[in-house]
Amino acid sequence: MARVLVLGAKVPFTHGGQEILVATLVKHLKARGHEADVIELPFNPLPKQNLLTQAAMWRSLDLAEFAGGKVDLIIATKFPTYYARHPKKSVWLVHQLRSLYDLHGGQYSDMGDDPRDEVLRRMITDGDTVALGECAYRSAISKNVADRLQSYNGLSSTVLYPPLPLGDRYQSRNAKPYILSVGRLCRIKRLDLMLNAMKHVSPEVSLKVVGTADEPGVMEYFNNIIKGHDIGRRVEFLGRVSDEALVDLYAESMGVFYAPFDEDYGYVTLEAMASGRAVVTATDSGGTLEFVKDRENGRVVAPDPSAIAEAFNELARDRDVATRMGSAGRAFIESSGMLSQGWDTLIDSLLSPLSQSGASQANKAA
Amino acid sequence: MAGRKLRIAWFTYLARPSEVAATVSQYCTDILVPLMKDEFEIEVFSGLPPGSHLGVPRYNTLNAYQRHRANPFDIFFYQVEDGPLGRVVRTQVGMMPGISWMHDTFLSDPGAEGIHTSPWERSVQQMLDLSLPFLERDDLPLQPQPQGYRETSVSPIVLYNSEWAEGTLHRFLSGRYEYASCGHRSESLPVPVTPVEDSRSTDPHRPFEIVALGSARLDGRAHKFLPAVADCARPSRLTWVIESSERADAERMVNEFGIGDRVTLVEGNSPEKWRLLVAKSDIALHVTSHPHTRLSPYLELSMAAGVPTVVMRIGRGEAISEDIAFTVVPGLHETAQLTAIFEGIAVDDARRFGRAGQLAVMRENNPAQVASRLGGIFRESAPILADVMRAWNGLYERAEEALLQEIRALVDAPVGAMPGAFERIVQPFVEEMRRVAR
Repeated sequence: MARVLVLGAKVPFTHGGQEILVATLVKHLKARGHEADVIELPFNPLPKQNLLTQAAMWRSLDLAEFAGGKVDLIIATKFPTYYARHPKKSVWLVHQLRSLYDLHGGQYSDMGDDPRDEVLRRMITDGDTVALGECAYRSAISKNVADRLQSYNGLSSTVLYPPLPLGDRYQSRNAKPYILSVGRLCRIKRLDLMLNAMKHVSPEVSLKVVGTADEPGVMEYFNNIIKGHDIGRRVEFLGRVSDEALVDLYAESMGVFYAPFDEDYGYVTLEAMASGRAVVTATDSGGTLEFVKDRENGRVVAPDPSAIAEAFNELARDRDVATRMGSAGRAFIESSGMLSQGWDTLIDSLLSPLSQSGASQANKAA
Repeated sequence: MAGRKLRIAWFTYLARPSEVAATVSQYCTDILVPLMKDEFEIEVFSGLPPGSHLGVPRYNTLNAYQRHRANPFDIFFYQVEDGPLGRVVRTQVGMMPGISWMHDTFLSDPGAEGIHTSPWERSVQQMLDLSLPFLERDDLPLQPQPQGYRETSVSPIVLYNSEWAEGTLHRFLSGRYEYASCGHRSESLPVPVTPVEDSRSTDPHRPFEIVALGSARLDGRAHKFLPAVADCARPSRLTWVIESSERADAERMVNEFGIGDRVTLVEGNSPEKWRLLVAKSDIALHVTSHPHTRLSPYLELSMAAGVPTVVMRIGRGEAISEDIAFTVVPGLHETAQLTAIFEGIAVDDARRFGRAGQLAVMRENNPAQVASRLGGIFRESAPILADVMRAWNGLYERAEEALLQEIRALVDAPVGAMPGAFERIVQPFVEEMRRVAR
């Protein structure tokens, strides 16, 4: 059995997919008899000049030995954890710092043409290529993330989809007339699309929102939309909920909204499918499109409030269609190994450098 | 430089294979690159992943500096256009000095968030005087209005797609931003247009076919051309190309004028779609009164089809000769003028009215000629841009020093900060990254 450290970058007071992924990975490593623990450092993307310092901090850590024992392997997850050094380093890449990559030049990045910004971007992208290139095993949580790594850094990786965090616990029950939205509340998750859609959605349908705000001013922005459309009685913000409550919310929803911009992976999509619910996503939602197929197990529509509203109105009107899509999603999840059986393969892959000699690499730079 | 091909970093928006190629930059790229790729070593940069495009290598825009470092480019060539799709290139315009081809004179889109507070004016000043300090982050200026000044000014050489656009913007900019070695140069370069085949119905009893490109907003002038269609005494039919989001407004307006049975609404435009529509029409309306709304390449495509065109006598339309297009004056008599034009052209002689425009476009917008002119501009610009690039490199060396000073201040700022933390943690990391970059 191996001594393994899983590396996480924690934004204090927030909770999202990466925290779930790190905690679940450690749980399943332990369940298989490994000695596993988490190393987390706080991460703050602001001010942007500090990004280099945070990468440098991870680079400066000595993770070779703790408590009188050698660390056999480290598993990095996202920027800047993969800057950590270790002879046996695996990465299960959640994402890089997207404002320097795919979001650069768009509305979700604060990096511009200030020569200092561009110098910073070049240093970090060069650094990423080195730090990720030196991994003995490289994997990504979705094809979308793997494609970005190949496009921007010229590095290949294996796609290892994360199994669902609540395993076999997802259920499907009779639908109630509400749409469910789950996820951190920030601009890139685009809850505003759904809020603006609500004015076109049948009035008997409400919206329940699970998740907490992790961007300044975002709740004020949402509240302005709600006030502008006078939909306050139909929208409920539930904050962070327990696992049991989340299972119930999925199980009884009439459909799930999940349409972030170019999402890395999106547990929500798969949790909804596992609960037999149709997912409404957008044509530019990235990783969700690896799973949601239009009119098979959900709807893929333009990132436009009226298109989203029409998709939900159809689900509300025709419950047979909604049920058929939900069943197709559940069947996909059951056949995919994502409920819990996928962990064996996943952990074997992440630990594969332990069975390699010397500098043998599971992946080579493309 | 003799004996080797000039290396061109060609920036453009490119649609994904599943999307419609609706941008002007892609339209021009797809015509010009095949004509120029033998004479120049072109690499195309867009938002797409690496691959190839029309036989030349394609990279993501963010790989441009790496490609330049590995094998330097002589020219960075940017195609700038309005709208969210143009953002991927607009941000890059400020990264490396080059040639910008402005497909829109002014821009209505504010661009990516990162350039809302762009220090480009200071960057240009710093190239002239490297002792000038970088602006404090809190003092970065908001972009001047109207949008487009940054893009036309930060590039040492600017191309416009019409003489009107060049003259209009040059009046604002002349003398304001002078590069050390070359000043600020501008030229007009028309968009390339290939012939459009006539595909009208030969039925002599068919109605008069009108095609209109315009918004349902006030500046799209639909409140003027829809009643003109309604008033037209002869049998006529209108195809109106609108944005998808405007369908409800457009339907309401069409119904208001009682011509729902004579109007077809087409959502979303692209050069290829317009080419097909105009080829089977008798007249094309380009009657916008909005300074941001583009005429090129749609007006030129209409003319290439030999179709009589109607433009508004405002903005660029004022500079278009009445010999090659009908012009209408916005205001009281606008509808009557349009009705008179519709009624004055017989179905069987419509193309005669468009002949002069067609000849002008075939002369001015001939793809081989446009490619040749652009190639000439590349050759003339290369030595000038080499000088500018040297100054730019000096600026970037200073930018790295400035960035590290900012980081040092942040690392040392916290109460009780570890003495020497910058030297012990950040400095070795930076040196490692520099080694890697080399």
